[in-house]
Amino acid sequence: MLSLTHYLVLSAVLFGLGVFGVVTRRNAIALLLSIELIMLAVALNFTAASHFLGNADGQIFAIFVITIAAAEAAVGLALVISVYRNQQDVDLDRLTVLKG
Amino acid sequence: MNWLLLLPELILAATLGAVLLADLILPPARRSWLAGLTLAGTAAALVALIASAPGTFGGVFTNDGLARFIKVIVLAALGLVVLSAWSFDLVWRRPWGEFLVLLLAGALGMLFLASGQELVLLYVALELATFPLVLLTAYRPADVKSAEGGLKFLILATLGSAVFLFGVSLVYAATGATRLVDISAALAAGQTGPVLLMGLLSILAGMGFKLALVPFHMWVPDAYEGAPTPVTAFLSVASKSAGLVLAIRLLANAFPDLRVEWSGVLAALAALTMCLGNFAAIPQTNIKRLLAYSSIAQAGYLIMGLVAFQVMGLSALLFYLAAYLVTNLAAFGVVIAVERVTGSTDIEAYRGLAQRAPRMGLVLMLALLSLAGIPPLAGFTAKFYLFAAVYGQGYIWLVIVAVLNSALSLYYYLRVIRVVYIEPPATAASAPALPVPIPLALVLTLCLIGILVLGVYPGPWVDLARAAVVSLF
Repeated sequence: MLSLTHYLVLSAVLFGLGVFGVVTRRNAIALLLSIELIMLAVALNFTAASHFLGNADGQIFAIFVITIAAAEAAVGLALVISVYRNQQDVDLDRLTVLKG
Repeated sequence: MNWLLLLPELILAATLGAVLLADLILPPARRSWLAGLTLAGTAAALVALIASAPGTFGGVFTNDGLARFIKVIVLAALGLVVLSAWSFDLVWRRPWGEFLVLLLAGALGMLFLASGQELVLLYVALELATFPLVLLTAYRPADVKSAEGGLKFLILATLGSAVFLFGVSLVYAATGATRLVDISAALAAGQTGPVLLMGLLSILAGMGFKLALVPFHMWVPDAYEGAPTPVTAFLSVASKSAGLVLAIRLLANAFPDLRVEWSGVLAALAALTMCLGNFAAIPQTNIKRLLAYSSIAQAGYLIMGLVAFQVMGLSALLFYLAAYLVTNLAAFGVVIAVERVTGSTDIEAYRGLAQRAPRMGLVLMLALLSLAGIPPLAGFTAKFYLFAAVYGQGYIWLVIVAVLNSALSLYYYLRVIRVVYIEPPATAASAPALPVPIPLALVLTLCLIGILVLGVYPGPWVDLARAAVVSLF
């Protein structure tokens, strides 16, 4: 029988993969994808917890998370395009007009 | 349900809609009408806010003293930034209506953030306070710096919210609550465990991103340098206030019982952040980057107020925010005045500023000295209260680190003042006269009055800050 712990472990693994992606990838689009993965881990957490606690707040929260993740992707991809137009590159290690 | 509690937010939202429509109808030559509309809306929201009574809306939105104090700071920052962006060509000649709408949207998110008592509302408000500022950072898409700064800022900010949100989801899984009072009640009932602590840790890390604490500060200077200067000013003051109020809300209303766990982490973060900010500011040659690192260091000082989590510590923190508002906006006002004419934000462009524009030189000097904490200016009084509060809580090592850091910061602030007052301009052509438009002059005057009043006569303002936080305990 699956318990809440199983879901929490699964979402912790997803979260870990997302953070791993953020740390290792340098391509802006891959970074955005990794962050989306973290957001999915969050949504999974909320939905699973909501189911096991018998409390609907978590599902509502998950809907908000997914909606805002979509807004974030829209803003993110727009910025990726405008950077690409300027510099013909979206690799953050090579975007060094500003010395980060 | 008392809708009047939402009046400042409703006014600001209505202003946003009105500016959006007016931008479609008015010809581009009527830019100043849009700015006037925004300022009128901000002023009306400020009046409604000051006249509003304390209360709670449906248990998820509170209009307590803390919320009102932070909202006054955010609205004041909004008004001053709109005034200082007035006739600043890098934004004035661009789609100016969009600039104002995005600024209003960001401020609206910050207002909700200051009042939120429930995690869904806080999360949505946090994102509403973030995305418009990301877009404003990348406001000049054809400008290489602006677009790059915006992209880096977006990745950092969304990563921060994602980590924060993961923590929130764990706290929800552990307690089944999304209202802060319910979380705190669950904790008081003895609920604890690894899931909850992991959640708290994630939330703290996410807030570290929002407040640009070490080690989450990486791209903040890039965003500050890339953004149009009025946006940088808004980011440095209003965003910081919003991030801090979120931290205070969560720590005071949801996790007061885990204070032992989080205060040690915050003390270490504060010390690291101020050291890194100050050391990294020293070699900078661009004034916006210098002020960016200085603001990272200031975030380190501000976090000390959270470490001393008592009435005195928090009221010192709020007073520090007010002092930081006037000081930083004065400094950025001069940066805008110089950038308007020279088009440059290099410190080199400030050579001989004191001769060609004595008043600008004076404002910049006073603002930088106030940032460094020299009496009798606002920054000194604020640091004094803050360090005294932290000392009173027994964190003597932290106070010593902070005092040493203040001395260190004086080095790079004085370097700028030296360029302004002592070094002559390279050529006469590189030192054009420096006309200042009236709105910007108004901003500088108001900020200067603020720096002097908060520094010399702090009593009533400290009492206000104290009254604002006393209900949290």
